[in-house]
Amino acid sequence: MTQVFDTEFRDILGAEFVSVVGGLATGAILAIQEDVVLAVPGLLIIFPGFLELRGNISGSLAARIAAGLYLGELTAGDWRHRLVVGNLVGSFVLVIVVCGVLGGLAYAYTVFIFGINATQLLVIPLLAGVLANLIEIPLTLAATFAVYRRGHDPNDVIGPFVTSTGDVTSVLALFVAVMLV
Amino acid sequence: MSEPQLDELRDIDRTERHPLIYDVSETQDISRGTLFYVKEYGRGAVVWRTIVRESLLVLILASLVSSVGGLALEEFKTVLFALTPFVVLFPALNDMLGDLGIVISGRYSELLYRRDEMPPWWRDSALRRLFVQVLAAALVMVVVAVGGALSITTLGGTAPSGTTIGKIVLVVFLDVLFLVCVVFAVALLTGTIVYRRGEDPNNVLIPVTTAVADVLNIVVLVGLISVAF
Repeated sequence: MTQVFDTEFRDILGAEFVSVVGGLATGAILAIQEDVVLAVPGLLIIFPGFLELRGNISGSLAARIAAGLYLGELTAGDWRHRLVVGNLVGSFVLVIVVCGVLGGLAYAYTVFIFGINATQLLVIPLLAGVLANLIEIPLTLAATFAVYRRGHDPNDVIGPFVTSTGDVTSVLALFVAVMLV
Repeated sequence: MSEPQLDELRDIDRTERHPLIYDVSETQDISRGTLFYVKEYGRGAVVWRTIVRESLLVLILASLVSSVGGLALEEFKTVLFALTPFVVLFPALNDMLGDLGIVISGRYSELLYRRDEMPPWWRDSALRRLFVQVLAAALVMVVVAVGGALSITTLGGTAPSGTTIGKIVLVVFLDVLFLVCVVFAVALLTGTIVYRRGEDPNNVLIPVTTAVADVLNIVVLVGLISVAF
């Protein structure tokens, strides 16, 4: 039992707590913005994919950076290292392409299934994705370096951290994009 | 390891199973994980291109799968918004399950890199331990999430009845129990396949496990809500 409920377990539990609190905050924002969600047809189609994309991109980014740190390829805090820059560029390319696909899918679903021509769905995820990336990617990198420096395994801690902060950032970016469009 | 050997390592076609990695690992006593990382992201590699090339397809597929879940949400949005605690709970549960998927993926990728072959999970103490840790953490977090969601909705002025609270706890407990098992199985299966194909499981496992967790969470949750309410 002691082998199971050890430091690693406490790390997972602590990180999950952060994640659940972040998720509840996102849920609270969603509940408060009920009118917007109900007013924009198809917005909920984008919602899970958009939140997930943030976790996927930032989570994979943190895992790659952590592997580089463990293998000694990279030093914590070296923001100009080619691995860091490459990861930054890669994250933006992925967000732009995948958000475009997500918007296209949501638009197609609303046209073909619900019979509504909601063209704003093509722009909202793209704009929101770039906005969220501008905040979330530097935050993920900084957190990965900080966690590694403190002797914790980023694989255990960063995933939940990036998804919870990413969710709040994403949902706010999504509503900002809805307002702008 | 000499520079020509490194060059040869970098030039190996990604679709092959990197026979040189095996040879160099055996002769130079360097872990295959290290050599694999050097090959993927070492000097000479265009990092962003490697990332985009390996992640794009899986992310698009994950978006496709997630949008199916989104479609279910859109279809049931009036039912969902009538039960405010579930609106608050839904992102928390998605986050929690996705994060557990990330923990499982990260740990399993690490185990794959450290070992050459993985035994079946039920015979491996590290994997059994990981499963118990993840399940225990998930069940503790169910209590936290439900408690938090009920507090938020009560503060918002819509306090649910005792019967409704009981149903919410039961629905969330069953949902999480089922999904932890599924995500664990998917991570192990996908991780093994991806690693054997000579690709970085970190780039594939996380999108796959989170997509599975997201979609199934919505589908199972909507199904259980329909039965319970």
